[in-house]
Amino acid sequence: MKYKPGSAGVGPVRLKAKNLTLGAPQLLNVPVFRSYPAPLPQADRGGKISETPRFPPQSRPQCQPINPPGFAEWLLVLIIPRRSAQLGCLEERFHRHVDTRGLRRTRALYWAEVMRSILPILWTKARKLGVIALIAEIWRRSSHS
Amino acid sequence: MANDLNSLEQQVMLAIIKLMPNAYGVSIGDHIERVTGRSYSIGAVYAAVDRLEERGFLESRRGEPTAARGGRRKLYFDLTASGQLALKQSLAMIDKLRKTPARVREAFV
Repeated sequence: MKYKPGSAGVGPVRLKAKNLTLGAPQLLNVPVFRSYPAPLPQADRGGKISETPRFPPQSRPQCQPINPPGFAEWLLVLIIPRRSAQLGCLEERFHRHVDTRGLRRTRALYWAEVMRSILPILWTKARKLGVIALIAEIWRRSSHS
Repeated sequence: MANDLNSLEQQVMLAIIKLMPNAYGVSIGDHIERVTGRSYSIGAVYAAVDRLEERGFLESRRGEPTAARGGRRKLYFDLTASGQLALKQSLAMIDKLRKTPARVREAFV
């Protein structure tokens, strides 16, 4: 079956050779683009083939991937490297909670989990570096003077 | 004592015994929440697991990657012989402490 404009269920197909049949592009690794359902039959459009899609872009179903906050992930990897298993566990919980608690609440929970993982480590590192003692000393001196 | 375990470490080790050989971060946290009603963050579970692994009480092995985990592998945990011994000693110590004389119990109940 050759591609004809307006045939039901088939979108525009780009073919390099003229006499290729449908199905051949996949075998020959030729790119195939199926963007939207085929336009209505000619009789419904008064004999004219319109280029307007049956479903305008704004009415098409949105297929955005639901992923955890990227910045939170990046922060966790930055502070705790070599913890891909922990990231995986956080993501597993994230996907489980999305269905029951909603996206916004789940994102907030994810951030809270990341902060609870990061802050104790940052606190320990700051104590090791003596940053807290330094700040306390500066504050003490400034308050006495 | 070198074999001292805190409450979370004890709970994590008991959860690993129960869930073996499928004990990993999420399943450990879920099991503790289901049994005790207390929920710990994944970070807290991993911190405890890291401490136990450093002390030689746990060993880990890498599992299969799944789509739900963003293609990341699971990390399964198993208790070592020294881990089992440490847990046994720690729980025995609590049991000894629970055996208080009757007069002390009466004073607090």
